[in-house]
Amino acid sequence: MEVPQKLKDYLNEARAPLPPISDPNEPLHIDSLGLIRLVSFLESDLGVRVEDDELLADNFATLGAIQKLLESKTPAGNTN
Amino acid sequence: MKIDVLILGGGPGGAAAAMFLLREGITPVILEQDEFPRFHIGESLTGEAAQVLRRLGLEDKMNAMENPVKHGVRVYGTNATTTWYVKVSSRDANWNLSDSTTWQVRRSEFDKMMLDEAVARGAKLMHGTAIKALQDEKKGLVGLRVRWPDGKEEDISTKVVLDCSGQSTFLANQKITGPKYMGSYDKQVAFFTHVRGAIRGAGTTGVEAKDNTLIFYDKKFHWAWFIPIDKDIVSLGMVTPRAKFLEKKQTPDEYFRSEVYNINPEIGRRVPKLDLAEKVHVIPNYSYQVRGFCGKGFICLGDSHRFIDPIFSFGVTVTMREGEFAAPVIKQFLEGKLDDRENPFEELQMAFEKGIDNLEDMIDLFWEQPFAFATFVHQRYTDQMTDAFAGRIYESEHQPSPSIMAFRKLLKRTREYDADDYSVPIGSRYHPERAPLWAPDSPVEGTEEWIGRGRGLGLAEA
Repeated sequence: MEVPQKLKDYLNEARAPLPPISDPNEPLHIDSLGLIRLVSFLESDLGVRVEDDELLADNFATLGAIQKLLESKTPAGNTN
Repeated sequence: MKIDVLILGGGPGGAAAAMFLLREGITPVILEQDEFPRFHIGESLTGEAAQVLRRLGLEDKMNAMENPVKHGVRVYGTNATTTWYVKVSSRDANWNLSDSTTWQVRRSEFDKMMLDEAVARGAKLMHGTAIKALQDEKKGLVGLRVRWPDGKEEDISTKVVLDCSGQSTFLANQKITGPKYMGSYDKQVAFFTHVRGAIRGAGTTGVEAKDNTLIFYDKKFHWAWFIPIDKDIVSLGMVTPRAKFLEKKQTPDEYFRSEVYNINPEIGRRVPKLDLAEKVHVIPNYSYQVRGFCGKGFICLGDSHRFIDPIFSFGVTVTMREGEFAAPVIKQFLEGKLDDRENPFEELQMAFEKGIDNLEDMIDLFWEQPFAFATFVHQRYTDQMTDAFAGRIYESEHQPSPSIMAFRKLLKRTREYDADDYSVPIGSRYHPERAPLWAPDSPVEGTEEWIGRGRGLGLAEA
Protein backbone atom coordinates (compact mmCIF):
# COMPACT_ATOMS: atom_id res chain seq x y z
CA MET A 1 0.00 0.00 0.00
CA GLU A 2 1.23 3.47 -0.95
CA VAL A 3 1.82 5.79 1.95
CA PRO A 4 -1.15 8.17 1.81
CA GLN A 5 -0.30 11.84 1.39
CA LYS A 6 -2.42 12.49 4.48
CA LEU A 7 0.00 10.42 6.57
CA LYS A 8 3.08 12.09 5.08
CA ASP A 9 1.58 15.48 5.88
CA TYR A 10 0.78 14.34 9.41
CA LEU A 11 4.30 13.06 10.02
CA ASN A 12 5.94 16.18 8.61
CA GLU A 13 3.83 18.27 10.93
CA ALA A 14 4.47 16.00 13.93
CA ARG A 15 8.23 16.23 13.57
CA ALA A 16 8.39 19.98 12.99
CA PRO A 17 10.59 21.97 13.32
CA LEU A 18 12.63 19.23 11.60
CA PRO A 19 12.50 19.51 7.78
CA PRO A 20 10.03 17.31 5.83
CA ILE A 21 11.01 13.66 5.41
CA SER A 22 13.26 13.14 2.41
CA ASP A 23 14.43 9.57 3.01
CA PRO A 24 12.06 6.77 4.09
CA ASN A 25 14.80 5.38 6.34
CA GLU A 26 15.65 8.52 8.26
CA PRO A 27 14.58 8.49 11.90
CA LEU A 28 11.35 10.41 12.43
CA HIS A 29 12.36 11.76 15.86
CA ILE A 30 8.82 11.82 17.17
CA ASP A 31 8.65 11.58 20.98
CA SER A 32 6.59 8.98 22.80
CA LEU A 33 3.52 11.15 23.25
CA GLY A 34 3.78 12.02 19.56
CA LEU A 35 3.85 8.30 18.76
CA ILE A 36 0.73 7.73 20.84
CA ARG A 37 -0.99 10.50 18.85
CA LEU A 38 0.27 8.97 15.63
CA VAL A 39 -1.34 5.64 16.51
CA SER A 40 -4.63 7.45 17.18
CA PHE A 41 -4.31 9.19 13.83
CA LEU A 42 -3.69 5.91 11.99
CA GLU A 43 -6.73 4.37 13.64
CA SER A 44 -9.17 7.26 13.38
CA ASP A 45 -8.13 8.95 10.12
CA LEU A 46 -6.76 6.06 8.08
CA GLY A 47 -8.93 3.29 9.50
CA VAL A 48 -5.93 1.12 10.33
CA ARG A 49 -6.16 -1.02 13.43
CA VAL A 50 -2.79 -1.15 15.26
CA GLU A 51 -2.75 -4.29 17.37
CA ASP A 52 -1.38 -4.31 20.93
CA ASP A 53 1.63 -6.36 19.93
CA GLU A 54 2.46 -3.93 17.12
CA LEU A 55 2.99 -1.09 19.59
CA LEU A 56 6.74 -1.28 19.28
CA ALA A 57 8.70 1.95 18.87
CA ASP A 58 10.63 0.29 16.00
CA ASN A 59 7.43 -0.01 13.97
CA PHE A 60 7.09 3.78 14.01
CA ALA A 61 10.73 4.84 13.88
CA THR A 62 10.84 5.70 10.16
CA LEU A 63 8.43 6.29 7.29
CA GLY A 64 9.68 3.02 5.79
CA ALA A 65 8.85 1.12 8.97
CA ILE A 66 5.35 2.56 9.07
CA GLN A 67 4.88 1.68 5.41
CA LYS A 68 5.94 -1.88 6.12
CA LEU A 69 3.49 -2.09 9.00
CA LEU A 70 0.66 -0.80 6.78
CA GLU A 71 1.58 -3.25 4.01
CA SER A 72 1.34 -6.13 6.47
CA LYS A 73 -2.29 -5.32 7.02
CA THR A 74 -5.35 -6.13 5.02
CA PRO A 75 -6.58 -2.84 3.57
CA ALA A 76 -9.13 -1.45 5.98
CA GLY A 77 -11.97 -1.60 3.45
CA ASN A 78 -11.62 -5.36 3.01
CA THR A 79 -11.84 -6.41 6.66
CA ASN A 80 -14.91 -8.36 7.65
CA MET B 1 8.17 -22.02 74.87
CA LYS B 2 5.33 -23.25 72.67
CA ILE B 3 3.30 -21.07 70.40
CA ASP B 4 0.94 -21.27 67.41
CA VAL B 5 2.30 -18.66 65.02
CA LEU B 6 5.76 -17.14 65.12
CA ILE B 7 6.17 -14.10 62.90
CA LEU B 8 9.76 -13.57 61.91
CA GLY B 9 10.22 -9.82 61.45
CA GLY B 10 8.25 -6.88 62.80
CA GLY B 11 8.14 -4.72 59.66
CA PRO B 12 4.79 -3.72 58.15
CA GLY B 13 4.32 -7.22 56.69
CA GLY B 14 4.77 -8.90 60.05
CA ALA B 15 2.75 -6.30 61.93
CA ALA B 16 -0.16 -6.39 59.45
CA ALA B 17 -0.16 -10.21 59.46
CA ALA B 18 -0.25 -10.12 63.27
CA MET B 19 -3.28 -7.81 63.24
CA PHE B 20 -5.14 -10.00 60.75
CA LEU B 21 -4.33 -13.11 62.81
CA LEU B 22 -5.63 -11.40 65.95
CA ARG B 23 -8.89 -10.83 64.11
CA GLU B 24 -9.09 -14.58 63.56
CA GLY B 25 -8.64 -15.13 67.29
CA ILE B 26 -5.00 -16.19 66.99
CA THR B 27 -2.38 -14.55 69.19
CA PRO B 28 0.94 -14.51 67.34
CA VAL B 29 4.44 -13.88 68.63
CA ILE B 30 6.57 -11.41 66.65
CA LEU B 31 10.34 -11.86 66.69
CA GLU B 32 12.23 -8.69 65.78
CA GLN B 33 15.94 -8.07 66.11
CA ASP B 34 15.98 -4.27 65.78
CA GLU B 35 14.72 -1.60 68.14
CA PHE B 36 12.16 0.57 66.33
CA PRO B 37 12.20 3.22 65.00
CA ARG B 38 14.87 2.31 62.47
CA PHE B 39 15.57 3.60 58.96
CA HIS B 40 13.96 1.72 56.06
CA ILE B 41 13.43 2.39 52.38
CA GLY B 42 10.11 2.00 50.53
CA GLU B 43 8.16 5.13 51.38
CA SER B 44 5.27 5.19 48.94
CA LEU B 45 2.09 3.17 49.41
CA THR B 46 -0.31 2.13 46.65
CA GLY B 47 -4.09 2.46 46.64
CA GLU B 48 -4.61 -1.08 47.91
CA ALA B 49 -2.05 -0.62 50.70
CA ALA B 50 -4.28 2.21 51.90
CA GLN B 51 -7.32 -0.07 51.65
CA VAL B 52 -5.59 -2.64 53.84
CA LEU B 53 -4.83 0.05 56.42
CA ARG B 54 -8.46 1.20 56.27
CA ARG B 55 -9.65 -2.37 56.81
CA LEU B 56 -7.35 -2.54 59.82
CA GLY B 57 -9.02 0.59 61.19
CA LEU B 58 -5.87 2.68 60.87
CA GLU B 59 -7.09 5.51 58.62
CA ASP B 60 -7.52 8.03 61.45
CA LYS B 61 -4.13 7.14 62.82
CA MET B 62 -2.49 7.59 59.40
CA ASN B 63 -4.10 11.01 59.05
CA ALA B 64 -3.20 12.02 62.62
CA MET B 65 0.45 11.25 61.82
CA GLU B 66 0.12 13.83 59.03
CA ASN B 67 1.42 11.43 56.43
CA PRO B 68 1.40 13.17 53.01
CA VAL B 69 -1.64 12.23 50.92
CA LYS B 70 -0.85 10.74 47.53
CA HIS B 71 -3.37 11.14 44.71
CA GLY B 72 -1.35 9.53 41.99
CA VAL B 73 1.96 8.91 40.29
CA ARG B 74 3.32 11.19 37.60
CA VAL B 75 5.95 9.78 35.29
CA TYR B 76 8.25 12.14 33.38
CA GLY B 77 9.57 10.63 30.16
CA THR B 78 13.09 11.02 28.78
CA ASN B 79 14.11 14.71 28.77
CA ALA B 80 10.76 15.52 30.44
CA THR B 81 9.18 16.20 27.03
CA THR B 82 6.21 14.03 27.94
CA THR B 83 4.54 12.98 31.16
CA TRP B 84 1.82 10.56 32.04
CA TYR B 85 -0.21 10.23 35.19
CA VAL B 86 -1.87 7.33 36.94
CA LYS B 87 -4.32 8.22 39.67
CA VAL B 88 -4.81 6.25 42.85
CA SER B 89 -8.10 4.40 42.54
CA SER B 90 -10.24 1.94 44.41
CA ARG B 91 -13.01 -0.48 43.47
CA ASP B 92 -16.24 -1.03 45.37
CA ALA B 93 -17.93 -4.38 45.93
CA ASN B 94 -19.53 -4.14 42.47
CA TRP B 95 -16.13 -3.41 40.94
CA ASN B 96 -17.01 0.21 40.16
CA LEU B 97 -13.88 2.30 39.88
CA SER B 98 -13.48 5.55 41.77
CA ASP B 99 -10.69 7.98 42.59
CA SER B 100 -9.03 7.37 45.91
CA THR B 101 -5.97 8.40 47.89
CA THR B 102 -3.19 6.73 49.76
CA TRP B 103 -0.24 7.91 51.83
CA GLN B 104 3.47 8.49 51.62
CA VAL B 105 5.24 7.49 54.81
CA ARG B 106 8.45 7.97 56.67
CA ARG B 107 9.14 4.31 57.18
CA SER B 108 10.81 4.60 60.56
CA GLU B 109 7.60 6.13 61.96
CA PHE B 110 5.12 4.10 59.93
CA ASP B 111 6.78 0.79 60.78
CA LYS B 112 6.89 1.70 64.46
CA MET B 113 3.21 2.68 64.44
CA MET B 114 2.30 -0.65 62.82
CA LEU B 115 4.33 -2.71 65.26
CA ASP B 116 3.10 -0.75 68.30
CA GLU B 117 -0.46 -1.21 67.08
CA ALA B 118 -0.03 -4.97 66.63
CA VAL B 119 1.30 -5.18 70.20
CA ALA B 120 -1.47 -2.94 71.56
CA ARG B 121 -4.00 -5.30 69.97
CA GLY B 122 -2.49 -8.33 71.67
CA ALA B 123 0.48 -9.64 69.68
CA LYS B 124 3.52 -10.58 71.76
CA LEU B 125 6.79 -8.95 70.75
CA MET B 126 10.15 -10.54 71.51
CA HIS B 127 13.53 -9.07 70.70
CA GLY B 128 15.96 -11.59 69.31
CA THR B 129 17.56 -12.97 66.16
CA ALA B 130 16.55 -16.17 64.40
CA ILE B 131 19.69 -18.21 63.76
CA LYS B 132 18.44 -21.62 62.68
CA ALA B 133 15.31 -23.24 61.32
CA LEU B 134 14.30 -26.39 63.21
CA GLN B 135 12.95 -29.22 61.10
CA ASP B 136 11.18 -32.49 61.72
CA GLU B 137 11.05 -35.13 59.01
CA LYS B 138 7.31 -35.61 59.28
CA LYS B 139 6.06 -32.28 60.52
CA GLY B 140 8.26 -30.00 58.40
CA LEU B 141 9.33 -26.76 60.01
CA VAL B 142 8.67 -26.96 63.74
CA GLY B 143 10.41 -23.92 65.16
CA LEU B 144 13.33 -21.54 65.19
CA ARG B 145 16.49 -21.30 67.23
CA VAL B 146 16.71 -17.77 68.56
CA ARG B 147 19.58 -15.79 70.02
CA TRP B 148 18.45 -13.33 72.67
CA PRO B 149 20.15 -9.95 73.18
CA ASP B 150 22.09 -11.40 76.17
CA GLY B 151 23.69 -13.95 73.85
CA LYS B 152 21.73 -16.95 75.14
CA GLU B 153 20.14 -19.26 72.61
CA GLU B 154 16.76 -20.93 72.83
CA ASP B 155 14.70 -23.24 70.63
CA ILE B 156 11.16 -22.02 70.12
CA SER B 157 8.52 -24.46 68.91
CA THR B 158 5.67 -23.21 66.79
CA LYS B 159 3.01 -24.64 64.50
CA VAL B 160 3.57 -22.02 61.80
CA VAL B 161 6.43 -19.65 61.00
CA LEU B 162 5.47 -16.58 58.98
CA ASP B 163 8.68 -15.42 57.36
CA CYS B 164 8.48 -11.63 57.18
CA SER B 165 12.25 -11.20 57.19
CA GLY B 166 12.22 -9.15 53.99
CA GLN B 167 15.27 -9.23 51.77
CA SER B 168 17.12 -11.31 54.36
CA THR B 169 15.02 -14.23 53.03
CA PHE B 170 15.67 -16.21 56.20
CA LEU B 171 13.85 -19.45 55.36
CA ALA B 172 15.21 -19.48 51.79
CA ASN B 173 18.76 -19.08 53.11
CA GLN B 174 18.09 -21.91 55.56
CA LYS B 175 16.97 -24.00 52.54
CA ILE B 176 13.60 -24.69 54.11
CA THR B 177 11.96 -23.40 50.93
CA GLY B 178 12.66 -24.45 47.37
CA PRO B 179 15.55 -22.82 45.52
CA LYS B 180 16.11 -19.09 45.35
CA TYR B 181 16.58 -17.90 41.78
CA MET B 182 18.10 -14.76 40.41
CA GLY B 183 15.47 -12.37 39.00
CA SER B 184 15.64 -10.09 35.98
CA TYR B 185 16.93 -6.96 37.69
CA ASP B 186 19.99 -7.98 39.58
CA LYS B 187 22.63 -5.54 38.41
CA GLN B 188 21.28 -2.19 39.49
CA VAL B 189 21.96 -0.02 42.47
CA ALA B 190 19.70 2.47 44.22
CA PHE B 191 21.11 5.63 45.82
CA PHE B 192 18.75 7.64 47.95
CA THR B 193 18.52 10.38 50.51
CA HIS B 194 16.08 12.87 52.01
CA VAL B 195 16.16 16.47 50.77
CA ARG B 196 14.77 19.77 52.05
CA GLY B 197 13.33 22.54 49.91
CA ALA B 198 12.10 20.40 46.98
CA ILE B 199 9.35 21.91 44.81
CA ARG B 200 6.17 19.85 44.86
CA GLY B 201 2.99 20.15 42.81
CA ALA B 202 0.95 23.32 43.41
CA GLY B 203 -2.48 21.68 43.67
CA THR B 204 -4.49 19.77 46.23
CA THR B 205 -5.88 16.96 44.03
CA GLY B 206 -5.16 15.20 40.76
CA VAL B 207 -1.99 15.41 38.72
CA GLU B 208 -0.76 18.58 40.46
CA ALA B 209 -1.44 17.37 44.03
CA LYS B 210 1.48 18.44 46.16
CA ASP B 211 2.33 15.09 47.69
CA ASN B 212 2.19 12.84 44.61
CA THR B 213 4.98 10.47 43.69
CA LEU B 214 7.07 11.62 40.75
CA ILE B 215 9.08 9.18 38.68
CA PHE B 216 11.76 10.44 36.34
CA TYR B 217 12.66 8.16 33.49
CA ASP B 218 15.87 8.47 31.53
CA LYS B 219 16.42 5.22 29.68
CA LYS B 220 16.33 1.54 30.44
CA PHE B 221 17.45 0.92 34.03
CA HIS B 222 18.16 4.61 34.67
CA TRP B 223 15.47 6.39 36.69
CA ALA B 224 14.79 8.41 39.82
CA TRP B 225 12.00 8.87 42.37
CA PHE B 226 10.62 11.87 44.27
CA ILE B 227 8.40 10.98 47.24
CA PRO B 228 7.27 13.62 49.78
CA ILE B 229 7.43 12.02 53.22
CA ASP B 230 6.45 14.94 55.44
CA LYS B 231 5.80 18.63 55.07
CA ASP B 232 9.50 19.50 54.73
CA ILE B 233 11.24 16.43 53.43
CA VAL B 234 11.19 14.65 50.08
CA SER B 235 12.77 11.24 49.53
CA LEU B 236 14.93 11.48 46.42
CA GLY B 237 16.41 8.34 44.94
CA MET B 238 18.20 7.31 41.79
CA VAL B 239 18.69 3.88 40.24
CA THR B 240 21.46 3.13 37.74
CA PRO B 241 23.34 0.05 36.59
CA ARG B 242 25.96 -1.04 39.07
CA ALA B 243 28.64 -1.14 36.36
CA LYS B 244 28.23 2.58 35.75
CA PHE B 245 28.77 3.33 39.43
CA LEU B 246 31.85 1.09 39.64
CA GLU B 247 33.30 2.73 36.52
CA LYS B 248 33.18 6.20 38.06
CA LYS B 249 35.18 5.18 41.15
CA GLN B 250 33.28 7.70 43.30
CA THR B 251 31.78 7.45 46.77
CA PRO B 252 27.99 6.96 46.77
CA ASP B 253 27.61 10.57 47.90
CA GLU B 254 29.79 11.90 45.05
CA TYR B 255 28.12 9.65 42.51
CA PHE B 256 24.62 10.63 43.59
CA ARG B 257 25.43 14.35 43.47
CA SER B 258 27.09 14.15 40.06
CA GLU B 259 24.55 11.87 38.37
CA VAL B 260 21.10 12.58 39.74
CA TYR B 261 20.54 15.71 37.65
CA ASN B 262 21.54 13.84 34.49
CA ILE B 263 18.59 11.47 34.84
CA ASN B 264 16.00 14.02 33.79
CA PRO B 265 15.88 17.84 33.49
CA GLU B 266 12.73 17.93 35.63
CA ILE B 267 14.83 16.96 38.67
CA GLY B 268 16.69 20.27 38.41
CA ARG B 269 13.40 22.16 38.44
CA ARG B 270 12.05 20.12 41.36
CA VAL B 271 15.19 20.03 43.46
CA PRO B 272 17.07 23.27 42.76
CA LYS B 273 19.59 22.51 45.49
CA LEU B 274 20.68 19.27 47.15
CA ASP B 275 20.06 20.17 50.78
CA LEU B 276 20.40 16.76 52.39
CA ALA B 277 18.62 15.80 55.62
CA GLU B 278 19.96 12.24 55.54
CA LYS B 279 23.15 10.64 54.30
CA VAL B 280 23.17 9.06 50.84
CA HIS B 281 22.19 5.43 51.33
CA VAL B 282 23.00 2.78 48.80
CA ILE B 283 21.40 -0.62 48.24
CA PRO B 284 21.71 -3.10 45.40
CA ASN B 285 18.49 -3.79 43.52
CA TYR B 286 18.93 -7.44 43.85
CA SER B 287 15.93 -9.19 42.35
CA TYR B 288 15.16 -12.78 43.13
CA GLN B 289 12.40 -15.34 43.42
CA VAL B 290 12.05 -18.20 45.86
CA ARG B 291 10.26 -21.38 44.81
CA GLY B 292 8.30 -23.49 47.25
CA PHE B 293 7.88 -20.59 49.66
CA CYS B 294 4.94 -22.13 51.48
CA GLY B 295 5.05 -25.58 53.00
CA LYS B 296 4.55 -27.66 56.09
CA GLY B 297 4.79 -25.23 58.95
CA PHE B 298 5.75 -22.11 57.06
CA ILE B 299 4.63 -19.28 54.79
CA CYS B 300 6.95 -16.63 53.35
CA LEU B 301 5.42 -13.19 52.83
CA GLY B 302 6.51 -10.23 50.72
CA ASP B 303 10.19 -9.68 50.07
CA SER B 304 11.08 -12.87 51.91
CA HIS B 305 10.06 -14.80 48.77
CA ARG B 306 10.28 -12.33 45.92
CA PHE B 307 11.63 -8.95 44.99
CA ILE B 308 11.37 -7.62 41.45
CA ASP B 309 12.07 -3.92 41.04
CA PRO B 310 11.14 -0.99 43.27
CA ILE B 311 9.88 1.29 40.51
CA PHE B 312 6.14 1.21 41.24
CA SER B 313 6.28 0.95 45.05
CA PHE B 314 4.58 -2.42 45.45
CA GLY B 315 6.61 -3.74 48.39
CA VAL B 316 4.49 -2.82 51.41
CA THR B 317 1.29 -3.49 49.45
CA VAL B 318 2.19 -7.03 48.51
CA THR B 319 3.45 -8.08 51.93
CA MET B 320 0.42 -6.67 53.77
CA ARG B 321 -2.04 -8.17 51.29
CA GLU B 322 -0.37 -11.56 51.51
CA GLY B 323 -0.67 -11.38 55.30
CA GLU B 324 -4.36 -10.62 54.99
CA PHE B 325 -4.91 -13.58 52.65
CA ALA B 326 -2.86 -15.88 54.87
CA ALA B 327 -4.62 -15.21 58.19
CA PRO B 328 -7.87 -17.17 57.58
CA VAL B 329 -5.93 -20.05 56.01
CA ILE B 330 -3.65 -20.25 59.04
CA LYS B 331 -6.75 -20.43 61.19
CA GLN B 332 -8.02 -23.43 59.18
CA PHE B 333 -4.61 -25.03 59.51
CA LEU B 334 -4.54 -24.58 63.29
CA GLU B 335 -8.03 -26.11 63.47
CA GLY B 336 -6.66 -29.20 61.73
CA LYS B 337 -8.70 -28.70 58.57
CA LEU B 338 -5.69 -28.89 56.26
CA ASP B 339 -3.99 -31.88 57.90
CA ASP B 340 -4.41 -34.20 54.93
CA ARG B 341 -2.36 -32.04 52.59
CA GLU B 342 1.26 -32.46 51.62
CA ASN B 343 1.56 -28.67 51.45
CA PRO B 344 -1.22 -27.15 53.54
CA PHE B 345 -0.58 -23.71 52.05
CA GLU B 346 -0.33 -24.67 48.39
CA GLU B 347 -3.34 -22.67 47.24
CA LEU B 348 -2.06 -19.63 49.04
CA GLN B 349 1.30 -20.03 47.40
CA MET B 350 -0.24 -20.26 43.94
CA ALA B 351 -2.45 -17.22 44.54
CA PHE B 352 0.56 -15.15 45.67
CA GLU B 353 2.66 -16.40 42.78
CA LYS B 354 0.05 -15.50 40.16
CA GLY B 355 -0.47 -12.07 41.68
CA ILE B 356 3.18 -11.13 41.58
CA ASP B 357 3.60 -12.67 38.13
CA ASN B 358 1.09 -10.07 36.95
CA LEU B 359 3.25 -7.37 38.49
CA GLU B 360 6.36 -8.81 36.93
CA ASP B 361 4.72 -8.69 33.49
CA MET B 362 3.84 -5.06 34.09
CA ILE B 363 7.32 -4.06 35.23
CA ASP B 364 9.02 -5.99 32.44
CA LEU B 365 6.83 -4.33 29.84
CA PHE B 366 7.60 -0.90 31.28
CA TRP B 367 11.32 -1.53 30.80
CA GLU B 368 11.17 -3.47 27.54
CA GLN B 369 8.48 -1.53 25.64
CA PRO B 370 7.91 1.89 27.21
CA PHE B 371 5.98 3.16 24.18
CA ALA B 372 3.48 0.30 24.32
CA PHE B 373 3.25 0.77 28.08
CA ALA B 374 2.49 4.48 27.77
CA THR B 375 -0.12 3.78 25.06
CA PHE B 376 -1.85 1.33 27.36
CA VAL B 377 -1.87 3.86 30.19
CA HIS B 378 -3.08 6.76 28.01
CA GLN B 379 -5.50 5.07 25.70
CA ARG B 380 -6.13 1.40 25.56
CA TYR B 381 -6.40 0.03 29.08
CA THR B 382 -6.58 3.09 31.28
CA ASP B 383 -8.85 1.64 33.98
CA GLN B 384 -7.08 -1.70 34.07
CA MET B 385 -3.75 0.06 34.37
CA THR B 386 -4.99 1.95 37.41
CA ASP B 387 -5.99 -1.42 38.88
CA ALA B 388 -2.50 -2.80 38.43
CA PHE B 389 -0.84 0.37 39.75
CA ALA B 390 -3.10 0.28 42.80
CA GLY B 391 -2.01 -3.29 43.54
CA ARG B 392 -5.18 -5.13 42.49
CA ILE B 393 -3.28 -8.02 41.06
CA TYR B 394 -4.99 -11.18 42.27
CA GLU B 395 -7.29 -13.65 40.57
CA SER B 396 -10.13 -12.53 42.83
CA GLU B 397 -9.63 -9.07 41.31
CA HIS B 398 -10.27 -10.02 37.69
CA GLN B 399 -6.61 -10.64 36.92
CA PRO B 400 -4.95 -11.30 34.61
CA SER B 401 -6.94 -8.57 32.85
CA PRO B 402 -6.84 -8.06 29.06
CA SER B 403 -4.09 -5.50 29.67
CA ILE B 404 -1.90 -8.05 31.45
CA MET B 405 -2.59 -10.53 28.64
CA ALA B 406 -1.47 -7.84 26.16
CA PHE B 407 1.75 -7.35 28.17
CA ARG B 408 2.46 -11.06 27.85
CA LYS B 409 1.84 -11.01 24.13
CA LEU B 410 4.29 -8.14 23.70
CA LEU B 411 6.82 -9.86 25.92
CA LYS B 412 6.31 -13.10 23.94
CA ARG B 413 5.62 -14.82 27.22
CA THR B 414 3.10 -17.31 28.48
CA ARG B 415 2.36 -18.29 32.04
CA GLU B 416 1.63 -21.98 32.15
CA TYR B 417 1.32 -22.89 35.76
CA ASP B 418 1.27 -26.61 35.15
CA ALA B 419 4.17 -26.67 32.64
CA ASP B 420 7.27 -28.73 33.42
CA ASP B 421 9.67 -25.81 33.47
CA TYR B 422 7.38 -23.59 35.47
CA SER B 423 9.56 -24.06 38.51
CA VAL B 424 12.23 -22.03 36.74
CA PRO B 425 11.04 -18.43 37.01
CA ILE B 426 10.62 -16.30 33.86
CA GLY B 427 13.54 -14.09 34.85
CA SER B 428 15.78 -17.12 35.15
CA ARG B 429 14.73 -19.05 32.09
CA TYR B 430 17.29 -17.24 29.97
CA HIS B 431 20.02 -18.27 32.34
CA PRO B 432 22.33 -20.60 30.42
CA GLU B 433 22.67 -22.91 33.36
CA ARG B 434 19.27 -22.30 34.86
CA ALA B 435 21.11 -22.28 38.12
CA PRO B 436 19.38 -21.50 41.34
CA LEU B 437 21.11 -18.66 43.03
CA TRP B 438 22.24 -19.60 46.50
CA ALA B 439 25.26 -17.35 46.43
CA PRO B 440 25.73 -13.91 44.88
CA ASP B 441 28.44 -15.12 42.46
CA SER B 442 26.37 -15.64 39.35
CA PRO B 443 28.34 -17.01 36.38
CA VAL B 444 26.81 -14.36 34.14
CA GLU B 445 27.68 -10.65 34.08
CA GLY B 446 24.40 -8.81 33.90
CA THR B 447 20.74 -9.02 33.00
CA GLU B 448 21.07 -7.71 29.48
CA GLU B 449 23.90 -10.06 28.57
CA TRP B 450 21.91 -12.77 30.22
CA ILE B 451 18.74 -12.16 28.25
CA GLY B 452 20.78 -11.56 25.09
CA ARG B 453 22.59 -14.86 25.43
CA GLY B 454 19.40 -16.69 26.27
CA ARG B 455 17.74 -15.42 23.12
CA GLY B 456 20.77 -16.38 21.12
CA LEU B 457 20.50 -19.87 22.53
CA GLY B 458 16.87 -20.05 21.55
CA LEU B 459 15.75 -20.32 25.14
CA ALA B 460 13.15 -17.56 24.87
CA GLU B 461 9.71 -19.03 25.09
CA ALA B 462 7.51 -19.18 22.04
